[in-house]
Amino acid sequence: MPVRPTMNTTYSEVWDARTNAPSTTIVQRDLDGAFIPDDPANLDYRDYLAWLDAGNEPTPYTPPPAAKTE
Amino acid sequence: MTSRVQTLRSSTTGNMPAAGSRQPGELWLNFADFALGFIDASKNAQRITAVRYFQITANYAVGDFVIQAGALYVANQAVTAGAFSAPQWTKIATASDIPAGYVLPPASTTVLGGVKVDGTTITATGAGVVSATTNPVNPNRLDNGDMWVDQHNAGASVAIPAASGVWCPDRWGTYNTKAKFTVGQNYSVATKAPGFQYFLGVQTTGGGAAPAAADANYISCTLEADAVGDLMFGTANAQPIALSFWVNSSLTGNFGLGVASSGTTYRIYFFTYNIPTANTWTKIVVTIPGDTGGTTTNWPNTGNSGQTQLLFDLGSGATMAGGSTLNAWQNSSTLIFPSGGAKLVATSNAKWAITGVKLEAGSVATPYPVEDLARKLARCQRYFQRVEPTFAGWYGGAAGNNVYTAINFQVSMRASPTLTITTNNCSNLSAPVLGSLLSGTSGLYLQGSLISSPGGYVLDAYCNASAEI
Repeated sequence: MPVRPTMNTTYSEVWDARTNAPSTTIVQRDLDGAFIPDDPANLDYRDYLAWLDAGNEPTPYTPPPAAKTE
Repeated sequence: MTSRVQTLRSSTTGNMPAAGSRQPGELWLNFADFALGFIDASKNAQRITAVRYFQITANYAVGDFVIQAGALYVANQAVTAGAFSAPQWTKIATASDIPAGYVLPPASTTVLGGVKVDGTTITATGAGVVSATTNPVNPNRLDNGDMWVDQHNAGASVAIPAASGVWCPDRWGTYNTKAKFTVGQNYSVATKAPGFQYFLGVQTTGGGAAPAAADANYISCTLEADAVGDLMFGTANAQPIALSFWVNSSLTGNFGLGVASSGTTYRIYFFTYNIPTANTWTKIVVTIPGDTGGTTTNWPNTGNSGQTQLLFDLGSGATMAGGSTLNAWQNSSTLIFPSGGAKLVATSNAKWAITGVKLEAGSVATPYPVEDLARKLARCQRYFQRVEPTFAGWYGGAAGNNVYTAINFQVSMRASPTLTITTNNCSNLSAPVLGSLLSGTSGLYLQGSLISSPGGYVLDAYCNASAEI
């Protein structure tokens, strides 16, 4: 892949409604809100792995405000 | 001879005038055997070849032509009146030997030297070869070489942020270290290259300045391994490639260009191309030998990972200066360009544009291929596409539950794509998120959480799916 200038960004967990837990296959890039799947052929995922290797951790998922029932 | 028309007739078979007996130009005719001729300048009788149906009452001389039972024959001896006798005649052809529209020798006939036609193939013996004159147009290994597809920006120019890059047009990435460039489809240059309506144009913005040592400013297009694996780079059977393109710049001089492998260490071949006249489109054609060095680690010849990069230098710093060894494959720990030469980034408002970029197998650059628009778009959608997951409904369950919508990609993507979601209208749903990908590369579903229930909900959004490389 090209030598791309490094994106200065952090990452956050994404909530998986099916498992009712943070997704183990998708992470969100805080810089632009992009969702990144865990495919090694995805360049953005490679960037994320490099970010993890540098000792970083994604921001834990924060549940939205409680929904209301009418 | 006289000038009047003469009428001659003889009923004596074979009564050809004797030599010197008549005047030049006279005609003669023997009714009995259909012999027709004229007297030549030497006063000798000459016969005009005639083809007639064989008749049992006629005599024939050697060389007479007749048609017998639908076939053409020539007499190989004097033939006296009587029934047709095959040994006296040589068969020339039948109608079936000459099909309409073709003139071919009979099967298994040697037609010239050692060249033989056997009815289905043409073969040649000895050192000769059977060749044909063709005008091939090889396929382009690069996508969007004519810069027509611009899904990312829809024709708008984009200022490249510092330490970042943009895709514009599709498949072509422009990178800079210090926010020095604006790039766009048909941007910056006022004219178009011959035969092309679109180009990738860049212009320096924010004032020109010589690059710092670590500055990287270049344009790249990367091909995945399965698209070029047949070129066999990294093996003894590596094939040469031909690169051709049109380029235009407000600067003149030698510009840097390179072809490199992907991976953590590089095999790279860099060289310069010359723009002799400012603001004028120039056609560049380069032949590059196949890389028999390196390994298949440098050049993975299968798979969907990146393999071959094409790199145009816009003025990178000394860290990427590769020295004076041009036009040769070499190892490098970083991408490198020729030292010196024109540096676009160093000049304020400098312009540079490119189109008609073609990379093909072989040592001859053939014309840019014409592709239908749907195919051109689909090739790019393997790497980037926009999908629009619009849905609406009514939900009677508890608030906080999720609703989903599935979207199939228009073209299967190279890899599971990164997804950005832009919401046009979202009612009674939390911000939609990517729920999961369908088989990784074929589609996706979005999920949104109901804010209030029971009730209706609406989501009108579009998603950019990127599997660029």
